Amino acid sequence: MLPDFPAIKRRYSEAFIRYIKKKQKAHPFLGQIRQHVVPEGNRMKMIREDGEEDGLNFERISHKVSVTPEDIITKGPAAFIEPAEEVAQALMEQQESLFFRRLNESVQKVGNVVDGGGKKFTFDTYLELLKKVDIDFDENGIPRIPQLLVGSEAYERLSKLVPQWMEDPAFKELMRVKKKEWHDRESNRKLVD
Amino acid sequence: MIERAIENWLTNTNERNYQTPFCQVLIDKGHRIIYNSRHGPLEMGKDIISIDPDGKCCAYQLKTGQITTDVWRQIKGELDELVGLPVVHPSVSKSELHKSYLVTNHDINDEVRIRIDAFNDANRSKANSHLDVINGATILRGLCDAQGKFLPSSFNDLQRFLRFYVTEGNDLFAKATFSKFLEDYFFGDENGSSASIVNAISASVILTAYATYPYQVAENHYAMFEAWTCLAASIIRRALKSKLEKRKWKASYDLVLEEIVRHLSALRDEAMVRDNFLEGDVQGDGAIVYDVRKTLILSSIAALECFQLLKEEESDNSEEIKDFVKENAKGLAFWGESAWPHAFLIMKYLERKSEGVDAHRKLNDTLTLVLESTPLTGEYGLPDLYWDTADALEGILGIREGGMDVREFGGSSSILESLVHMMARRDYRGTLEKHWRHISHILYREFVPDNDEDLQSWRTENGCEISKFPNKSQSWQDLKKEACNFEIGNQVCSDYLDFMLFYILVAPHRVNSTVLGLLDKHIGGIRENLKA
Repeated sequence: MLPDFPAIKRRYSEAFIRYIKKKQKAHPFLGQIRQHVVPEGNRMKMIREDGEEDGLNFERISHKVSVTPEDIITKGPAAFIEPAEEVAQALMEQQESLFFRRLNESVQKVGNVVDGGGKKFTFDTYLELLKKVDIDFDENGIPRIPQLLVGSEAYERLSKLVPQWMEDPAFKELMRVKKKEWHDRESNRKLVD
Repeated sequence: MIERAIENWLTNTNERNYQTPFCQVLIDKGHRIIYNSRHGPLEMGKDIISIDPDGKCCAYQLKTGQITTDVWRQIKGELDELVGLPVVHPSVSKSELHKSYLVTNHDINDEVRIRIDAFNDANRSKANSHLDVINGATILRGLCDAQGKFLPSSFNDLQRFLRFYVTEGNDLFAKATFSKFLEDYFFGDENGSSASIVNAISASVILTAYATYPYQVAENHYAMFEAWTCLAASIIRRALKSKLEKRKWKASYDLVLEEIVRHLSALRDEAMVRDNFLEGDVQGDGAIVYDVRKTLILSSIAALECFQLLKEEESDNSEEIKDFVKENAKGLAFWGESAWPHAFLIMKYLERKSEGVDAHRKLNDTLTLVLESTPLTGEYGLPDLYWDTADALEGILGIREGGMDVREFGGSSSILESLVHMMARRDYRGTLEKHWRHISHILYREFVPDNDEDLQSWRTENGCEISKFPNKSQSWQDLKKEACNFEIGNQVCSDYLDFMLFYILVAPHRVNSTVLGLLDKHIGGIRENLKA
């Protein structure tokens, strides 16, 4: 072999991984989902309060990139910056896709679905959605409204509409009901008998 | 080359460190070890007593260094006891004369050989035992032969071994790397015969003795404790996985357990005479580093003392030890979830020694700390069980490359369930009631290996990470019942409960509610009438 510098290269590999993780954390959606590392095992299981178990096998996500020897020679470590961006994007797309697939499976199972029938997302649809979920409130009584995940077209429209909807008396009445539900839920968190 | 490395270790070490591999060589030759001293006052000139394959009793006196005439004069009295005093042991008939051996890791001068000859002549007339000699060259040959095919010979094997042999001995032990090495090098053959597994176990004991040479030189007893504990866990796992009869490996396992006890005893004795717990380069010491060190020391002492208590024994200076632990148990560190087994053992030890008030306070403080570190918002949490002491400390000090994202730990806990169960077993309803709303928001996590013996593996591919929220509305009676249910559990944990005292300190990620529940029950001292 020829003389080499593995210790230096190792630092670049580690920086490559850190860059990808940093991109994930900066993602507007994925970055908000808490990640937890599971260093061993081959599956996960969630036991619900009613005793029902939801099992999950780990799924692999990966992406291949190619870099030519010429690029490496002329650009050095910078030859991997573009591929790093590509890898980060590809992994995030796969993660998003996995997330929504699993979410869809869960909500279909529970029945927490509102079918808009292909029509535009309206205030009534919004209220119907919120009625189906538990809403928590912070110590100051401010509701932690679930986030809406929408496509870029709907985002333009809804980013203006949703704040207006939140001023509507029907929304405020729903929040009053939800607050009572939350209060009852929290009051029920106790040791009994 | 490996023989040179072993020889280098053998000639530079002392009898305490070569005693275990020497015993292993005897076991390999078919001896049964019936006494293995800790170099206390009741030796009667004998460090090791064994029964050889012919049923003859053999007694050994171990020494370090060249046996010169000066040394001979110094040790003559002990040798008189070695050959003159009968072996007092239930397995040995007093009427039968034992064989005596002077063992050294170097050699015997020619003048001393002449003196031994005269010594034996004189003793023959007194019907005392004949003194034979085992020198370093003989021990070295025995060590190499005992390792057989497990003597590192390929370049890769040598390289892996040398990484341990030439490392800095003043650091914490490289547990993950060593466990992987043991698994790959000794215990990876899934189809090995029982004879080859027994050989592997025997060879691993010998290799561990000399691979940890840098830590022996540094007298780094904590690292040595970690090394031997990693080996014991690997041995248990391999033996159970292949359903090896216990009688075939128990002797080797017992040697390893004795090494664990020896090093913890040495650590305890050293700590108890120190003015303070500063160590090494003082730049970077103090504050949390000092408190973490103190916690590691006290939990090691607690583990050792609880180990004695489980055998219904006690250290000679048990009251002094208790006072030492109690006095120093103020201001301990809690660097993350991997600190919990340390806090648990200190608490259990105090409780068992009737210091219930201190123990109760520690338990309460730990629960409060865990809850404060795991807010309802889930923004952050305690570094989890897989973040070992040094990793968590680097993260807390902000010097870890890549940093530590505390968001990763928010909203869940791998230790909260065991804390809640401990409180329930002690009838601390009031405390739990006060905090139940918060507790019920935190997700309990636990990793359960598919195979019981994998509780003793550093990492396993086969297992399930289980998550569940505590019940929002929880029946107190059901909670108490659950906390006192010791039937469900890992059989390995039950069968090796005394070893688990040490293992949970070295492999904190193997701690769960069942393991701690069993230890809580068997160490005892729970005062059920102690109200919160």
